[in-house]
Amino acid sequence: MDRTVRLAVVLAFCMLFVDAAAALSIGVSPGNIDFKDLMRGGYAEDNILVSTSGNETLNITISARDEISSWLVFEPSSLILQPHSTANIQVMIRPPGDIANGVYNGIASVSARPNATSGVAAGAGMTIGVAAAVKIAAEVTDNEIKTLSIKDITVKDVEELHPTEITVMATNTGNVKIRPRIVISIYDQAQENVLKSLEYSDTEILPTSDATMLILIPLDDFKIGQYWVSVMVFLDETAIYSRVLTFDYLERGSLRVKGEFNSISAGAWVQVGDVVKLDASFTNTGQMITTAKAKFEIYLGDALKDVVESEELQVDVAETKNLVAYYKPVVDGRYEIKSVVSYSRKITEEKSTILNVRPIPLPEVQTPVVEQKTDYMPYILMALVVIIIILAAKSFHIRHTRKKTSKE
Amino acid sequence: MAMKEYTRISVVLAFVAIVTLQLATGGPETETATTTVTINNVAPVVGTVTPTSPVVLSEHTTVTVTCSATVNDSNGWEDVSTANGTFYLDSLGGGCTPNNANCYTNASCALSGGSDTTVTATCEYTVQWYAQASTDEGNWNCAITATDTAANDDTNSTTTTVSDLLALDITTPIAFGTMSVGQTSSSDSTDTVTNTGNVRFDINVNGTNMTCDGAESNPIGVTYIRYHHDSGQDYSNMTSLTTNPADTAAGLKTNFDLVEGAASDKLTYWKISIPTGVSGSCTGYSQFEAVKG
Repeated sequence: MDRTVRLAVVLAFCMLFVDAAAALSIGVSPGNIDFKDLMRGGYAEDNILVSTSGNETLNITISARDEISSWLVFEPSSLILQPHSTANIQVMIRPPGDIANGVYNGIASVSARPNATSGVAAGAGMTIGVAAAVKIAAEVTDNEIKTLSIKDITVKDVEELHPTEITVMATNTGNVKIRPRIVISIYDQAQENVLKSLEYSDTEILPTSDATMLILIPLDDFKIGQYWVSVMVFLDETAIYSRVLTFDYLERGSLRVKGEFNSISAGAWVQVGDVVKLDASFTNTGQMITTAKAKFEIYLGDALKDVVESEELQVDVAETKNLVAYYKPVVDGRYEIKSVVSYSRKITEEKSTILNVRPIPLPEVQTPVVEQKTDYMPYILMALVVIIIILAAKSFHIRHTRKKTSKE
Repeated sequence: MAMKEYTRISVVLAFVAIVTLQLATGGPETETATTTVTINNVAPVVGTVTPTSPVVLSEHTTVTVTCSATVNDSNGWEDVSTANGTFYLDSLGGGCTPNNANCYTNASCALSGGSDTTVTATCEYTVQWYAQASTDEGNWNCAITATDTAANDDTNSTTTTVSDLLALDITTPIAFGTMSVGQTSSSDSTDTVTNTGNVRFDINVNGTNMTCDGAESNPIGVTYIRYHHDSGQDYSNMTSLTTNPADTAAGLKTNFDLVEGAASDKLTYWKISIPTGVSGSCTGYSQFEAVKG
């Protein structure tokens, strides 16, 4: 039988894609990236968030095309994306050193295929794919830009025999590599004497990159107590950022006992004579059960009017308790309630709130009397004064007339 | 005699006046007891609003946008009774009508961390995937209004951006069904492309040859598969699929223009012609690539 004829009678089941109901979805954000002020032979980076709302596990691959395809590197360049999830892809660009100034374009294509092991219908081994193309523009320049943005600086409380940790988070917002110089000075509690100084410049940051610089400072000769640390960041010889922070150098085991004073409340407005509930919310954030008690100092203006305390309550790990005391203001005015919570021989930072105490309003039955006095009394007084003046003038006139008559 | 009489009357009247005056003012005891302090209710002040920036959306689902601000009230943080907020496309103004594309409201923002005269107001919004992108529609604004117990209020706002989300969903596989050698599709097979992001896009398509599992069967060349953006086209008027996405016909590549929105989709139409020399079940691969239009 002729081969063509034989094949003509064989039914060909031709399906281009999967033969079962399925859905593939993918999203990328942003949809385009503009790299501005790129130096020749320089570097820049950005990120693409890949997401899917589908029920399939997807094989994701990222590839570049068009004129800047050889400049682009993706990290990772492939990944498994779980159903209903997102993933971050870093896009790095390195233009060649001999390229002319100008704007160059390319595409980063993020492709998704169902994972073979995911059980997605793939009828007779057929697959379907979706992709999203991120347009990338690169502007090459020869203008050097050197800038650094400090996002945050933190310092940790530490227990004795451990170094303190200073963390500096920064972003190179320019277009050349930079190596910031960080000058650190540790002061005593009074911030009068410098106890230790050091400089750090170990980290080089690429353009557009974030960096987290962890600086460990040994405190072997320090005593238990509170200290202050001054952190100054220099770019070349210019100070671009400075910050003063405090940390505690604690006895061993102290960090296992931790608590947080969440808030204090007293109700904003009350009346003289009302009983006011003072409420301090405290959470045990440590690893051991503790007892806690709140102390409330009640000020009217600058004068301390009273001090009241809550009961001491047991607070389990991760538990939040309201530490309550009561106060009855006898004078109206704007009060300030300051509070601290003491627990396990520790004291939290102070929090405060304002209590506005209004006077007791006059009884309603007295109101008409007061109004009547207010309405007529000035007129009565004025009339009396006028009468007195008239009589006094008359008296003076008579006396004056008599004197004159007697002289004559 | 008359003089003395007048003088006496004057003294008596003066005394009566003084006594009356004392009675009218309540006397010395009342004066010392009525030292009053007037506490005025002052409106709260909303500080700088800090929004999520930029807002990065996720395909066909929601993300949470947070805006927060410190609220100061001279009458104490507890005088701040409520906070509400609006997250909206700046060009619409804060009085916009809530909708998922460009205007979100939160009538009850969280108040937390109160101390002394300050409290933090935090407003959260569940933002849909088709919230309008700043690259197309401009900045968004995050506004927070704080109100105190006397109904005095204050509002502050800060702009932010919503990143574009290029996203698509292919919901319907293409199946050409059972065909004979030499046969051409008599009707269209369709595939639905849904925009599951917030930007309009066109699509590129490309594919591979189809392999067939019949004995000694040849593959079906990718160009035997054809497509069009309109239905009912004759096979000869349709565009052959190739391995290169750059070869995509203008109807899809530049004029597909699938707009963003809560329910935005379009069909594509496909046909195939079965060449000689093939048999069995044939399978292939094709890819739909969204490109921001």
